[in-house]
Amino acid sequence: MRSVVVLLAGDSGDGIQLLGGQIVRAAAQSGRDVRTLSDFPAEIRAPQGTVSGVSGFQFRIASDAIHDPGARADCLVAFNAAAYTKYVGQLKPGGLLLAATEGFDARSLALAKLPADADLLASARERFRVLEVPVKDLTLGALAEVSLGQRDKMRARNMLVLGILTWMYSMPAAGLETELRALFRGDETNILAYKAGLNFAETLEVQDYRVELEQHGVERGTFKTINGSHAVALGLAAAAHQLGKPMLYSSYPITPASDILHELAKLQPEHVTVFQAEDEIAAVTSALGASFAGGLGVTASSGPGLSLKAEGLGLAVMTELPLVLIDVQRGGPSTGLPTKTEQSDLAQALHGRHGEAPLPVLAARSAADAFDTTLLAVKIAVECMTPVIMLSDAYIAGSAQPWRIPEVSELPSITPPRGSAGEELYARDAHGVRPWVIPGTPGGAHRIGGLEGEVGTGRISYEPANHQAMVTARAAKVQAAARLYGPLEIVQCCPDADTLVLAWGSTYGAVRSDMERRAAAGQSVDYIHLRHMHPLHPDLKATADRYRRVVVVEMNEGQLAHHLQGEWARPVESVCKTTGQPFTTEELAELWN
Amino acid sequence: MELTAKDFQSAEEVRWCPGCGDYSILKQFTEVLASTGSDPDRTVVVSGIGCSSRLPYYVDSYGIHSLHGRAPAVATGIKLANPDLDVWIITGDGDALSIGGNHLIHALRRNLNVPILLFNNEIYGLTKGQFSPTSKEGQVTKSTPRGSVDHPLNPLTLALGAGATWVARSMDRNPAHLRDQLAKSQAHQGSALLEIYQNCNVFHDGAFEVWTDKSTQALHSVFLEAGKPIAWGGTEPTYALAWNGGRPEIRELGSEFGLADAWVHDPSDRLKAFALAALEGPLRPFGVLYAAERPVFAASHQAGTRPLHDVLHSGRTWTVE
Repeated sequence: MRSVVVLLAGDSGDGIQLLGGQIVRAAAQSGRDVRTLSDFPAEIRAPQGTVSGVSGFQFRIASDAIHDPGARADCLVAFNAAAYTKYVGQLKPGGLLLAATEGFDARSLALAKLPADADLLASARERFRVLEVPVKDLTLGALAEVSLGQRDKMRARNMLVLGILTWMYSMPAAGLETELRALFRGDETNILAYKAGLNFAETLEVQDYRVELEQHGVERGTFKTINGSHAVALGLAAAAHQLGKPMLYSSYPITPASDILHELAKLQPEHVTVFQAEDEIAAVTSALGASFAGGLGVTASSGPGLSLKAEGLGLAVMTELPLVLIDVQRGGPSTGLPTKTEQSDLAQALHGRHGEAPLPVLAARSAADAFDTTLLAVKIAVECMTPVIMLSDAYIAGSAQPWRIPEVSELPSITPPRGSAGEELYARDAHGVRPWVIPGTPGGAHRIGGLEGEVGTGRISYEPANHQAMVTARAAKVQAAARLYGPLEIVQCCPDADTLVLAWGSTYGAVRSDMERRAAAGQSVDYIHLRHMHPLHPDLKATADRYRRVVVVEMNEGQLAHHLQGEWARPVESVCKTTGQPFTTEELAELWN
Repeated sequence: MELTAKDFQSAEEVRWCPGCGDYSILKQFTEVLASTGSDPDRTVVVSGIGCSSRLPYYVDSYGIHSLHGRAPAVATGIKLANPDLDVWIITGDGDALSIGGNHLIHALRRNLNVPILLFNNEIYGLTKGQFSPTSKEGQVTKSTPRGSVDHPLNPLTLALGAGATWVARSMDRNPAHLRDQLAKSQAHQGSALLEIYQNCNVFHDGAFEVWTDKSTQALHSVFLEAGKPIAWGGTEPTYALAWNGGRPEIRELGSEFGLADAWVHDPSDRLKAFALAALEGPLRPFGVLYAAERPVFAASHQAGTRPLHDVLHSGRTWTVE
């Protein structure tokens, strides 16, 4: 397999994310596998030219299937000195630095707080291959005939670089041009810059830097590139379709969960109503109101929003209504690192409610997996009459990958519990699930609420034995959700391994690549990537018991490790970090042995 | 078959303190549900937390006793999932104006199609007697032994300020008036905020006596009727309000100032409704202060219609044969 890792870096106003998105789509359409990693400032327009305002976009293109965006870059595209300063440490020795000449002038050095006499490119030449491209001059030259001010013309710089990269990584240029025409709706400015970049690369300067990547044999079907936010939106649309009932998506703006709100508002899927609530609490409680009324309430949040929703989740546990909460984790606590990724909400998702309030918790491992996990979250919520938390994170939300669009006939069924008025409100079926009698059902009038209910009838009861019975019944119902899980998937299995690696969420790509490297190096390790955080998969403990060592990898201070030690009463080794950045495969190789 | 108030009473034992104003409100509420032909299968009573919020348990319809202050948000979700349901919000001064203030103002400005019955007793009852957002300055409570220093909120000016389309006031001790206001709140298309003076005989007895007691009511309470002069004082009114250049002025009726000179109540006039709502002295208006039409919430929040196949295939796709 051959792959290249490219890191694009410039001002947050330079259109880095747009450039990255285009190149990834082109690569995916040309039959390569792609993974991406975005790194952008929390501010909308951080001060121009400064290190704090640098926006980064890393992608890895491969001729075969890959699982992660790679670690160190083969190529760094630096739009200015600040971008170079921030990311030069991630460029491999001997790698290619593509530098926009004008971004290294005296003014740019001053903005990056570098000495006026610093010759960055000269020192770079000692360690890297350096390709200086006069991006500004080429862009203005290409747009000489266009009647726009220089400032507006300069906005097309990213398209010029796109042209260069398209040629360098041998992507289908004509197809991309068609895409750009659609994207910019006939505005030729960006197309002219793109073609100028393409011509520059082809005819003049960069022959030596071209990389040929074969097209890998992908499966048949219709594809699109998706990131985690789009995948969750599609998963909810699919779940609403499978459920065949109204779905209320209710949320309050917060980074990085808001993109799901934007996607659904734009997509307008059938059955789905989108509501921007006045606060996080209203988002979760209006979602619960929709569930009481016979629809399915869905809400999402990040960071402090999860804490604010804890009260609403408690009511959902008590009233035994379906509800789905998608937590797009970010660096915390408090406002923390709003645009960075972390897995530090696990403990709150598992335990963060007053009273005995267990609920199922699932975790998506990638953008594509977020689609399937969303469907499973809805299925469990409805079929078990319980709130469900689905954990995603900033990395999954923003990272893109090619995805085969499933046929509607491939989607899982979602079957609501019985709902006729004849039964007692809290009569439980064989799985401990109560009926869902919705307002409007003749003869079904009933009252529910946050007060403890009587076994069977649900009428208010403060009886000691009754409370114990209801606490036990609610927990048993949640445990029984495991009946809806598929078989336990062992991602990698080495013969006679004595070490089991457990990871969850967005670490999947890096850990899997690390496992492949370890296996190739002769280290005997098995790997299970957890999707079911609570209840744990019924076969997990017995499987883990067969190993001498259990190593838990996660982006927090060991929350899953602590949880498993408590559940299993056996020691596990914790490999963790909390930096706001995802693991790289190289890093994992050094972290444990 | 026509239903009676009894058909709307649930089997649950009513557990308010003996003598509580809530009993009267519950009774008038079930009578109005019956008299307006409400369907118990399509009626949903939503409440938050507090003495008032126990009411849904005692009404034989659908009901949810939710979280402290959150009833408007829960009701919003119910209406979004099924706009055809008859939803009522039951709340109190602490529930609606303190912990739930944000939800209340947003329900009002959105014009959620729901009557909001705000039982105002100027005290926290269920938590046993702390001052509430409507408690008077100087009011001695368990948490203000030297008197409350907080300036009280006026629920009606707050509601008008938040963009409510229907604002009214009634009282527990005038069943006929309360039934009339409840029926009108239900008939209104949009958010209908009905403040109900409710006596808490345990922690703040007599808070509204001057306006509710028969011996003093005539002099201090004015019952508004659309198109009629704002006048009070007995069977034959002795006082009336004048709209004196934008300032309400109390005038004695006589040869100098007759009923024909009095301010004629026009519930569509928002400015005058503010002036009435802002009367915080001995004179209090009851009845509908303000009523207006505006598109209701939920009508504008329709579910999407795009088929799943189109949604999944949205954006740029490519096919590998």
